[in-house]
Amino acid sequence: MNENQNTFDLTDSILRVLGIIGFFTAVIFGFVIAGGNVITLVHPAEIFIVVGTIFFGLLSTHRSKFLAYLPKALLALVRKPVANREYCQISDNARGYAAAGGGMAVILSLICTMSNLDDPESVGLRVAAAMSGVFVAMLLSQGLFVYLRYSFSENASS
Amino acid sequence: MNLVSLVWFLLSCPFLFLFLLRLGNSNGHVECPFCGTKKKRDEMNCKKCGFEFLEPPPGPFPWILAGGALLSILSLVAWIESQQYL
Repeated sequence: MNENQNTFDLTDSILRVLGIIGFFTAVIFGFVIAGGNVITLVHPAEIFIVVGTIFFGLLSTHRSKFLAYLPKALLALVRKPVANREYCQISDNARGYAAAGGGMAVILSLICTMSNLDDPESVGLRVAAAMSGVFVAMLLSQGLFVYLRYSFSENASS
Repeated sequence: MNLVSLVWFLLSCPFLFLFLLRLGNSNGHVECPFCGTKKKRDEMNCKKCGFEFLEPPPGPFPWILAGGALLSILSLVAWIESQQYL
């Protein structure tokens, strides 16, 4: 694989950015059209669990390679990256950690919910908080890491 | 009925979420996500490039997840229907 073949392509970059923004906008805008309030999706504790699990999980697994991966992944959001098996692997592992983080966020929120069943009015909000955790995990997993995994693959470079 | 269906939902919804999150993992692919080489179901590494696939779920685990996900949805429907304001 020629490492120098990564040339900047404006059309490719525009389409990438449009695709990523469109993905997230479609999800959020659809939620708003359905009558949802975007603020109800933001639960810092859930986001902290999911993002923290992904970040520190990858840091413990891939260490310095993960730190080198971060700027490459950010750059891959706007321009075509060079195929790299390690980065493709990290993106794939990130999906596993997202699943783990989402699952743990849900379970921990449900523990909070079930320990407060004597306050029925708060049950709905707590269940919604639990769901928002898995929503964040799925959004990152399907919207970001699937894209990064494919972008760093040889298939995307051909 | 109201509380029973809610508790069933709370107990089984992690299965639903795990079921959703595991959709599309690399082990479910028929080819390596990196180089596109065909892979067998039980292979842990790509023979050509060495890509490590996610661990295949053992035994009946996928079916337990699917059953839990179904139970979760049904209990959620039961709970919503039991709400007096609907």
